[in-house]
Parts: sequence; C-alpha cells; structure tokens
Amino acid sequence: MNLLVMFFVTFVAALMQAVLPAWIVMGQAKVPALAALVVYYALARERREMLVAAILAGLVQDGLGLIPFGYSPFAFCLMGLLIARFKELVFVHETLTHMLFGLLMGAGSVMVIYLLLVSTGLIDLPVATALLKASGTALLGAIATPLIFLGCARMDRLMGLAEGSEGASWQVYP
Amino acid sequence: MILGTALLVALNLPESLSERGKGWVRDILSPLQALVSGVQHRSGQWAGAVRGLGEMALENQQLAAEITRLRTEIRYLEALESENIALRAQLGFLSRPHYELIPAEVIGRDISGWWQTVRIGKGLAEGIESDMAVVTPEGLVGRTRSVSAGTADILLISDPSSKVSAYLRGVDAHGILSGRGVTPRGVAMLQMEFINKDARVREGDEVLSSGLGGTYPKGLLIGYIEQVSLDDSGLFQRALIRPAADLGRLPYCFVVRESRDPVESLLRQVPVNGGGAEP
Repeated sequence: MNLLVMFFVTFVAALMQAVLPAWIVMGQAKVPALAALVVYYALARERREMLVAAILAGLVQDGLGLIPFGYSPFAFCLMGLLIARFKELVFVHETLTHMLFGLLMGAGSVMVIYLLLVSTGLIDLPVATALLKASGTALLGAIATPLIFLGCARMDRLMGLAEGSEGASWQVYP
Repeated sequence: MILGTALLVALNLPESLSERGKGWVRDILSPLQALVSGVQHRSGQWAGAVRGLGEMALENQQLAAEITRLRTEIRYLEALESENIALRAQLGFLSRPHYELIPAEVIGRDISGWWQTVRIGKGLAEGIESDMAVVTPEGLVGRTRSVSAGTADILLISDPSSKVSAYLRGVDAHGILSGRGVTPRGVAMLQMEFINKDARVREGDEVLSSGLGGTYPKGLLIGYIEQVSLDDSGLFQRALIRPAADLGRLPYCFVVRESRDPVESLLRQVPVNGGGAEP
C-alpha cells in the first residue's frame, strides 16, 4: 500500500511539474513538485522510504525530459539524505520548516544537476544563468513544498499509513 | 553501499539502455499528459470562442476569401511543379525528395527547464524518427530528438544547442542560425551568424532553411530579421531573428517525413521526349 501511494503521488507531482509553466525571468525555473515530494519523505518518513521515493521521483523527472537517466535520482538522494539528517532538530510539521527545506532542496538539486550536465558537456550554460534558475526554483520550492507536504500527509492519513493529527506538529510519522 | 552502487550504475548507463528506460516512463505517462493538456487546450479554445463570438461572421468571410486565393495558388503551383519535374527528368537531375506531414498534438513541455523542448503524442509507431524537422503552418519549430513508441521530444529552434543552416530570401547570403532562448517577456529569439559582410540585410527580411545538413528541408520559413549588426571580428554580419512560429503556444505541429514521389520515380524510369511535355 505504501508503495502504491508513493507511485500515485509521484505521478501526480510529475504531472503538476510538467503542466505548470516555467518561470522565464528566473532562468526557466520549474515548480519543483517532485523535489518537494522528496522533502516530504525525508522529513516525515524513514530514510529507506525516502531513498525509494527519491529514486522513483528522479527516474520520472529524467524520463520525462532530456536529462540522462540517473542524474536526478542522484541529486534527490543527496539532498534527501542531507535534509533527513536535520529532521530530529526541527519541527517537522511546521510550514516554515517545509518552506525552508523546500528552498534548500530546490536550489541544491538544480545546482547538482547543473554540475553533472556541464561536466558531461550536455549543456553549455553560464553559471550566472544556473544560479538564477536555482534561485527561482528555490523560491518556487518554498511555495510548493508546504502544499505538497499537506497533500501527501492527508493522502497518507486517508490511506491509514500515518497516525496523529495536524495539531501535533512535533510528531514524526512512523 | 548498495544504493551508491545502483546510482553509479544508473549514472553510467549506455545511451541505448537509458533511452529505452526513458521511453517506458514517457509512454506510461503520455496518456495522462495528453489528457491534462487536452483539457487545457479545450478550455482555452472555449474561452476564446466565447470572447470572439461577435467577430465570427467577419472572420468566416475572411477565411472563405483566403481559401479561394490558396486554391487558385495551388492549381498554379501544381502546373509549375509538373513542368519542373519533366524538365528535371530531361536534364537528368537527381530526383527531389517529397515530404509528407504527420500531424501531432503537443502534450507537454520539458519537465526540468534545462532545454527548450515540447513533447508530442506520436512516436515510432507513426513512423517518426529522431532528427526530423517539425513545422507549424507559420514556420519551422524544431527537430525531433528523443523518440519513444508513443511520444517524441522536439528540440525547439530557440534552444541554444539548436543549429540550423539558413539563407535570406532575396539576398544572396547564408548563415548559421542558433537559439537564444526566451526573453523575459516570453518571446523566443534566434541569432544568425556568419552572414556575408557585404550583403544588404534589412529588418523584416525572411529567413529560410537552406537544406544543408540534411535535417531541415530547403525553403522552410524560420523567421524575420529583427536587428542587424557587425560581429566582433568585423568580418561578418549577425542578426537577431524573430521566429515566424509562436514557440510559446504550440497546441499542435507537423513532423516532416521524407518520401519519394511516385510520379517522379515513374518519370525517371521513362525518358521524356520533347520539351515541356506533360507527365
């Protein structure tokens, strides 16, 4: 059941990311819905589940674009592991936490993928443009992550995969 | 450890395997993408139809006039084409390829934002291969790049990695056209380089594909000159080009597939005697 829900939310997030337009002024930044999903799994679930979600979300992102297979899973796993390290130190269900980690995930994943693409010669983009794109994705990530978090938490609760109420902001999901 | 190894393998997958995997993901998600983009297009069309209800009669009249003009032009061009084929056959020229257009609906744009691409809902099953030109009635859009069984990714001419060999109509000048991305106002721009310094290039001149390189057929309208200047070396001119096709709004497009014209093949087998003979 857990895996089925993960598949479902990943596909919904992928569709959102594909359909929502890019932010042209900010270096074609896209709403990082799939990255936000990894933030949810990093904060609310165990490390193993987070890694599965990161690989799945990454493969879908690579599959739906021209990025070679493996780049996005690598970036998502790296950022997911980094975020998971801090989950004991923060209020996991606070909107501000989601915004902060959404920001970090957005900027971090864009820069990791940029470095991989440039190192393999697949794109020839100035660092300034990449930084602009990272900033745009960070801002969009800060907006999208709380919404994705809310949706995923509701979905998990609906399917009986998580306990607790929204009032218990400190509670880590099992 | 296992994860690290798996990622290392994934990062170094052979291109064919990587493409196959990507194709599976795309084919699984393409019906959903088509559904969502279809709803988007239709709602946009409905809104446009409601807004433009009063102007429909006038528009209808203009379209009828346009159809009449185009039909007349087609008849005239057909006669010229027959004459051209016959003359080429007599002179022993190589037969010219003919092109057929495969219509396709655009179902999505690049999910990562690193490239300027769109995805269409047709692929290998419909005879689409990589490196085929893609057009709209307004002009050239790009070329197919990554093709799966049911989808194909189109690299737009506005992408910085896109290169097209082009020439200017009415001016004996060729050049290389590359993408310049999208301006903050959302307008796609192109740049043409290595234009002869002495060529008289003016704003509004038409830019067409030269056919060199093989991917893009000769004579496709690409765009119009917006601004001309000398390049840094001072040896060539360069120009900013505004694409003829609206690359920001592409509900559908056509993939150009090369095919031999049966009439012309027949003509090449049977020698034509006498000048200007009808085929």
